[in-house]
Amino acid sequence: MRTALEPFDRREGGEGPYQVEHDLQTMMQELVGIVRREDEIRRAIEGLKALQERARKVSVTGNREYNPGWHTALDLQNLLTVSEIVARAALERKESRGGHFRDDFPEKDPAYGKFNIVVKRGPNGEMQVVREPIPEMRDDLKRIIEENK
Amino acid sequence: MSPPDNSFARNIVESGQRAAARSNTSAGTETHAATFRIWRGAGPTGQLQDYSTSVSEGMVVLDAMIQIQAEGATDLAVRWNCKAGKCGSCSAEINGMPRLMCMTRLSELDLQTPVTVEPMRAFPPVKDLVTDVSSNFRAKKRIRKFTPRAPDAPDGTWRMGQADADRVQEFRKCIECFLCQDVCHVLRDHQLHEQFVGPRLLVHAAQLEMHPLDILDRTEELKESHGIGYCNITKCCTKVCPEHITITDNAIIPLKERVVDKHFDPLGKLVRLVRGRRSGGGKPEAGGGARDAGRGEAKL
Repeated sequence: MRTALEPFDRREGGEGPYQVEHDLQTMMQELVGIVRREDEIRRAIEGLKALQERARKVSVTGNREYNPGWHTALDLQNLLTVSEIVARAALERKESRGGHFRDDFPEKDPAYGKFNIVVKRGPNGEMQVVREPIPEMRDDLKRIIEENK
Repeated sequence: MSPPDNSFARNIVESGQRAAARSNTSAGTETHAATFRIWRGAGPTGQLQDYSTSVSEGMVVLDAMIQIQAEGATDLAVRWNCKAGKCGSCSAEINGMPRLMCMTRLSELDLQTPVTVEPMRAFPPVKDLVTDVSSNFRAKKRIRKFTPRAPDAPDGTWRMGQADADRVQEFRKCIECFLCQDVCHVLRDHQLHEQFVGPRLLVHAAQLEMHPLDILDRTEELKESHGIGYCNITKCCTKVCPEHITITDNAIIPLKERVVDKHFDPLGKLVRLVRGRRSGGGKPEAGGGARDAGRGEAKL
């Protein structure tokens, strides 16, 4: 509760939350967008650290009733977390599959089809990117896929 | 803390430092400033406040509101969602006219004078441009819901004529923006929110009454508790509807005619009395509504 109310304490002179949200959106669209590349994704992960710092310092005015600025300030942390997860997972998957297109790995790699990429919270709160194998498909389902190829 | 060496990350930090001075303009097009006189308040108290912001081609009033919110008035309360004229969230009164903010282009307004943006005045104000529209949801619950006849086919489906289905399509376009409720003098000026359901709900009633499969007859409650008699067909509702539903002519007046036929037509009563059953037209009643036949009461 206290963390949620913090942005009100920094009422004077801080940055508004909308600007940080806007910059995050622009950066993610540019660097981890439709066409992805390794160097751009790495730049995005660096950029997220700077945005995290800015997000910690945003200030809002007004009171608690129906305050969209405050709601945006609260959302910022979640937006940043999800953005980092998206970037790290995109980095890990060095192939193209469905909506995930890597300019540096433009083909689908069947080896990658055997696991899901899972991002977990490690013991010190850091992000851990893990490959979790998908169980082997049942024979009858395999046969259906082969028949329809 | 010093920014990391990565130059892109440094740009992010520096752009944060410039944020307060930055003005939000769309790249490349000619921009100038316009003034918006926005209602700011909490509950019943408040006042109009002027905000200046840069405007560019293609902007709508909602874009300006969001921009003003981002540039400093971060606690400006405004409802919006689809920005495409389909969800009905961003209803407001722009220069006194009830409009959707996302559908009001700045190019159709005179930007030489301040553009007044106010909340819907027929409803209790909550904060700034947000109002309490819950009376509409309460009114909707009072209208008896869709009750179809037994299926026409053995597989549980119905058959209906194309013309009968087409008649109600217009009413189903409603996006529940409540601009019609806002402008109706019965609700806006006389505040009869609990006695008169309003044009939106009369459209809903018409959709059910004219539905080819529905078997209920809602004329009794339209007359007694939904307050259809309050409407004096000034057609302000039709004028403001963003979906161009002909509310008065196609929904309210036909419903009024049904109420009159049933409750105020002495010849109709006489015919029903003589025949001992309901006269031509109308639907079989499923337990609701008063049956005049056989009782000989003259209800006028």
